[in-house]
Order: sequence, then structure tokens, then C-alpha cells
Amino acid sequence: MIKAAVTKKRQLQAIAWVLLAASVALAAGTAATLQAQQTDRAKEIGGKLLCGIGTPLCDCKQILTQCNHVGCRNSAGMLKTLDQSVAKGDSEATILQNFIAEFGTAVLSEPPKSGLNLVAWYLPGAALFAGLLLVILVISRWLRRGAAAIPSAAGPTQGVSSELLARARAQASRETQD
Amino acid sequence: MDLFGSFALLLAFICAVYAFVGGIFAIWTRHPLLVKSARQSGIATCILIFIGTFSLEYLFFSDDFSVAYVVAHSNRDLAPFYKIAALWAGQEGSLLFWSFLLSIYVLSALLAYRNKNGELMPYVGVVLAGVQIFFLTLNNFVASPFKTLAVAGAGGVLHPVVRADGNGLTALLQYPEMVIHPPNLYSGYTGFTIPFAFALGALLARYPGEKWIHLTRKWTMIAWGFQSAGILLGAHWAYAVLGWGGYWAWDPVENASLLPWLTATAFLHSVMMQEKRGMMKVWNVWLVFITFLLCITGTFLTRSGVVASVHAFAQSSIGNWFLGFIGVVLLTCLVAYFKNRDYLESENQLDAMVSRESSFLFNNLILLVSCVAVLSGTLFPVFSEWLSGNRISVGAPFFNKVNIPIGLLLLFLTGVGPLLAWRKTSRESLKRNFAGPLAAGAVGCVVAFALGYRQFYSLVCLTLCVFVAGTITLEFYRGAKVIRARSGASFLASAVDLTMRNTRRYGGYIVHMGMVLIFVGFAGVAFNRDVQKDMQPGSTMQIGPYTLRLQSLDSRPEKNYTAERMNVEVLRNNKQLMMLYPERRHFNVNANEPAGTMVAIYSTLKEDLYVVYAGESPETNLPVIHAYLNPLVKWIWLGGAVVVFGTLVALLPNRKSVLVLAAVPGTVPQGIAGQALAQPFTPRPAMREGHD
Repeated sequence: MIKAAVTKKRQLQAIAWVLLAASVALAAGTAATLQAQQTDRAKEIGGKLLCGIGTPLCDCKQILTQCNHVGCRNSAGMLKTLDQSVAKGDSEATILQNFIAEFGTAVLSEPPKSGLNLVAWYLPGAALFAGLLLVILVISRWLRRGAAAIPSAAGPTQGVSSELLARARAQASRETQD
Repeated sequence: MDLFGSFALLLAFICAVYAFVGGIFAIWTRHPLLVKSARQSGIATCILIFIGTFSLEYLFFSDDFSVAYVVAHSNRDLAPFYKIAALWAGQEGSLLFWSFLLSIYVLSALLAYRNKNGELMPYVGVVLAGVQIFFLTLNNFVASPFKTLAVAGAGGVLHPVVRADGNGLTALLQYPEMVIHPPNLYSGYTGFTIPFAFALGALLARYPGEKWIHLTRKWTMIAWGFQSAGILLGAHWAYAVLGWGGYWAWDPVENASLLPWLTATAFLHSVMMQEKRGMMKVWNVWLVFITFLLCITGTFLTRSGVVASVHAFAQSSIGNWFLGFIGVVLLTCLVAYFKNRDYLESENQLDAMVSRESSFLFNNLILLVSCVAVLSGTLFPVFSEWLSGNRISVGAPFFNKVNIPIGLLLLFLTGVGPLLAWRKTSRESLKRNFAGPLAAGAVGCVVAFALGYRQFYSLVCLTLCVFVAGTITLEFYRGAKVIRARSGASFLASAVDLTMRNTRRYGGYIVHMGMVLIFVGFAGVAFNRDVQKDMQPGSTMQIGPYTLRLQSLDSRPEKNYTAERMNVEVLRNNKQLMMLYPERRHFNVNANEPAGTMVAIYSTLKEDLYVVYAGESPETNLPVIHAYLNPLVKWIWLGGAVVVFGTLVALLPNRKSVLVLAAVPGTVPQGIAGQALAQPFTPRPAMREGHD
């Protein structure tokens, strides 16, 4: 009986230890996850910032989290500020705004999607659209010209001179080479 | 020697002016002696520029520290290897180096065509001389590399000064790739002058379209090959030296090198339309003009300080000269075009929408849109500041967002184009050609997904890579199969034979295959990881499957610098894999200059383990390791080598068609047997396939 009670007690102790260990592991894991999330978040926000804008220390203009330029004495300070802000739980907008307040809008790694900056964003798309229209226009024009040229090209086949035939063969060979 | 060099450059300038003015008179009067003298003057210009350049190199090798440029970029302990590279380390020397490389091209062109294309060459000579005059003006009067040091004495009299030693070469340039990267890139930039001179000359002379195209194609390919190699070497240098874990940062100077490459690539494709179908003449002429203008624009961006870059030379007023030159060139091109545009009328028309011609048009469109995106992004900060007074940055995230979809579209077209027939592609042909590569692409997609490449663009990129590789392989397979059936040779020998019969076509496919490999490398970027840790000797850090253990730190004195080196043991599954030795180099001269990094890389096809000695932590005073795990990077360098190899193959002449004498197979009919025997045997010529 006593033996059974002792065994039960030991079992309970073991369960308690396991639970405790699990809690500690969970807590540690959560902390680690939080830490990892923080780091990832810092990296994500850091990717939207440039290093050393307009500062005498370094004007390399690399992405903040990637800056490892020889001689860059600026990124360390900026990264520290970023890490502190992320650790405080500041929102991304707040963090970016703080950096803009200190360094100006040039600290952002891409133009904000507003005002004149929209030109930068829309220009490649507009160029693609305009180019596409132009290509389609050119192709249709060429196709129309091709269709118009068919009757004259498909003239009587009899009496084709050997010279013309040789020229046509040379042309066919040239046009199918590459 | 500095006086000798200066004098050579001054004489070169005078000769170039004569080649230009004399050339114009030669065109006007058509006097053969004048034509010849203008050409000889062009040749003399090149030789004098060579003399000037070698004079400067002599000053470097003789440690002549009375010359300001030598003092600024060399020192006594600098390795001879880097004394060559010191030539282009600064503004003045790099401009002379530009003139030097341009002279190699000019001399080659003038000598290669001295007895050919008599109507065109005087025009070409004038254009080339015009470009040389511009650069020689800079070499002589704006940024002379032969200026000597002097101090003002009493009464303002200047006394020459000789320094005991120089300031040394910038740490970033003391890396073997820096000795070959700039010459490659500059050879690309300067090489595009030849197609430009031929295009402008042909337009002014109203020279037959296909001829100038045929003449310049190889020059364009040579320049393109150098430009490609230069860009990739630059990317590798950035990867191995700068220590930020990447190879392309969309820096304005990097972008400047990419711009003419994009338009030249477009030209190399669209030129086939003109050669084969007599189409796109206006387009091709303007592509060549724009490529040259972009080369000069790139140089302007690098040297004017108008856009900030880590690669740029010091800000100076030299940019105004380049702006003026760009204006003059553009105006000349416009005038020549409007005066002679009737000569550029297209001879043919398109037969069908689904054809090789259409694919070239779309290929050109995508390349040009990419060029617009890169150029507008590079210059937007400048325009934004002018217009709103507000400085805006356009960094890598912008360029990636805009250019990744464009690049993938281009990759898709790389696969589609070669499978479309000239003039018209039938539906059956489409099915036959695309079924296999599309199936391969689908399998590639599943495999990439299963391997964990699940980021959208990476997955699309890898799928397209497999698809394009499939199309290229199919092209080689079909051609080699035919040859193998006839010759009985091995499949590999048949593929080589096939390539040598049409080097341009199959060399082009090899280049495409190289681009596919490069894109495989790009697909890995989304999965880059990095860890940074302060390390004590004996401590470890983990990145991916690798454990890094800092064994010790040591210091290794070299002639020109002292290397502070980490001895890092790399373990995988608790077994030692290898040792890596990332360094920081402290140069003996220029003590104020920060230490240079030497990254240690363990590179495999799967991934690169990239270890940087990032310095000492200001908080703990411990050495810091920044380790990166970059998947698939090695594919980029392999792809680059394949691109260069493909370009070389495409430059080879085609194997000539050979007449093979073969007896007529089959039995001789009885009735004519005696007659046949009575006459000498007449073999029937059979033409082996192939194109010249």
C-alpha cells in the first residue's frame, strides 16, 4: 500500500517535472519565437530603409539591413535604433516616420506611392502599355501590307526564269538560317 | 616621361582633328589621296594614344612620384599586378584608358577595311575621329593624367615637387577581379562605338542596309560579350569583396552598365530581321544610336556626381562635357535620320502574327521597357529633386519589383522565340515544338515546389528555366539527330558538328542556356538567410546545416597590408567539413582608409556559405562573424561563363559547305552498263548541309 502511494507520488512528481519542463520549454520557445519574429520584423522594416542618407559617415545608400560596406560607420547606429523601436513594439509606420523625421524621405528605399513619386511607379507600366500598342500597330500594318502584296507575288508561275528561282532559293536559305 | 606622354596625347589630338576635318573634305571632294591621308591620320591617332597610355604605365612602374596621378593611386609597395590596374583607378587615368581601348577598336576597324567598302569607310572614319576628338579633348585639356606636383614659391613661381611615396591604390581595387573587370566593361562601352560609327556612316552615305549590318554584327557581338563579362565580373567582385552578401544592388553605376547591354541585346536580335527580311531598318539604326548614347550617359552618371554611388568617381565639372557631347551626338543622329530616313524604308512585310519576326518585336519591346524602367528609376531622384525640391531614393526594392516580372517575361520569350518559324508558324508546329518543353516546365515546377522553392517569383523563374532549357535542348537534339543519322557519329560529336555549321544560331542558343543558368541563380535570392554573432575563440554559431566554430584569430603581415584573419572551422553533422579564413586587410598607406574585407566562401551548386569578418563589436569588443547562406549563387557564375563561351562560339566562322563526291547508289541498268563502263566515272556531287 505504502509502496503504491510512494509510486503514485513519484509519478505525480514526474508529471509535475515534465509539465514544468514543458512550460519552461514553451516559454523559452515562445520567447525565442518572439525574438525571431522581432528579428524578422526588424529585417523587413530595415529592407525599406537605406543606410547613410546624406550623413558624412557613409553615403553608400545600401539597404540598411544589407549594408556592410567597407567603412560604413552609419548602419550600426541606424540598426540599433531600428532594433530598439521594434523591441518597443512600435508600428512600422511609426518607425519609418521616425527615420524620415531624422533623415528625410530619401531614407526610404523606394519612392512613396503618392504625388509626383507615382510617376516612378507607373512609368515602366506605361512604357510597356505604349510599347505593346505600338508593336501591335506595327504588326497589323505589316500584316495588311503582306495581304496586299500577295496578289502580285502570286502571279503566273509559268515562265519563271532560272535566275529568279536561284534568287528565291538564296532568299529562302537566308531567311531560314537562324 | 610625363612630358613625352603629354606630347603624344597632344599630337594624337591634332591627328584626330585632321582625320575628322580631312575626312569630311575627302567625302566632299572624293579625292583618293585625301581619303588615304585621313585614314592614315586616324591610324596615327591610335598609335599616339597607345604611346601616351604606355607612358603613364611606365610612370607607375618607375614609381615616379612627381606626377600627381601616380601619387594619388600608387605606392612603392603596390604589387606590379595592381600597378597596371592603377591606370583606371582615377578619373584622369580611366579616361585615358577609355581612349586607349577605343583606339584598339578604331585601329582594328581602319586596318580591317582599309581596302574594302570604299564608299562607306570615309564616313566611318569621320565618326570615329569625332568620338576620339571628344575623349582626347578630355585627356589633354580637362583631365590630364600627366600633371606634375608643384608648389608656389616666391613671386608665384612654381617649383616641381617629388613625393617620397604615393598614397596607394584604394583597398577596394586591390583584388584580382578589379584588374580584369574594368577592362572588360570599358571594352564593352568603347566597342559599341564601332557599330555606332558604321550605322551613322551608312545612314549619311545611304549605304546598302544589309551590308553595314553584316559588317557591324561581329563588332557588336564582341562589345556585347565584353559588356556581359564585365557586368558579371563586377557582380562577382561586389559579392566577394564588399561583404554584404549580394552581387547586384541596383546602384546607379551598376545600372549604367546594364542600360547599353539591354539595348545592344535588343539590337542583336532585331538585326536578324533586317538581315533576313529587310525589316526594322529605322529601329535598328536607332537601337545602335541609343546604345552608344547610353554608353556615354553611363559614363556621365559615373563621373558627374549627378547621382550618388559608391562606385562613382569624385564629383567634378567633367559631367558638363559629357552632357554637351551627348547633345551633339543626339543632334547629329536626328539630323542624319531626318535627312535620309527614306533610305530606311522596310522592304518586306509580316506574313503572320505567330512568327519569329513577332517574337523578336516582343523581345525588343520587353528589353526596351526594362531599359526605360532602369533608366527612369536611376534618374528619378534627380528629376524629383529638380521638380519638387525633395530628394527621393530609388533603391533595390523598387528595381526588383519592376524588373523581376519584366525579366521573367523575357525569359519566357527566350524559350518561345527559337521555336517559332520565320514568316509563319502552323498550329501543328506549335504543338510539336512546345509540348515537350511545356511538360518539362511543369515537371520542373513540381520538383522545385517539392524542394521547397515556394516563393512565387522563384517558382515561376525555375519553371521557366526548365521550359527554356527544354526548348534549347530540343533544338540541339533535333539537329544533332539528323546529322547522326547521316554520319553515324556520336550524339555529342553530331551536336558539335551542328554547332560548327551554324555558329551564330547555335552559339546564340548556348548564350540563351547561359542566361537560363543565371536565372536559376536569381531564383535563389528569395531564400537567402544570414546570422550575425559576436564570437570568442572556441564559440560556435549555426546557420542552416552548418556550424561555424571560431578557432583563433591571427595577423599576417604582407608587403602592402596586414591581414587580420579569422580561422573558422566549418562543421556539418558534427563532422569537420573545411576551414574558412575571412580577412580584414589594413593597408600600410592610407591608414585613415577603412579596412578591406576578404569574404570566405564555401560554394556548392546548392548554396554558398558566405562568411564575413565584420569587425569588432563596439559593445563587447569581440570579433563579429556575419554568415550568409545564399542558395544557387554558383549558377550565376557558371551561367556567365556559358554566356561568354556562347558568344565566342557565335563569333566563329561557320564551317564551309563541302562538296562530297559520292557514287550514285543503286545498280546500273543493263542497257546502259556498257556505255557507262565505256565512259569515265562521273561522280555525283552531293552538298553537305551547312551555311556559310
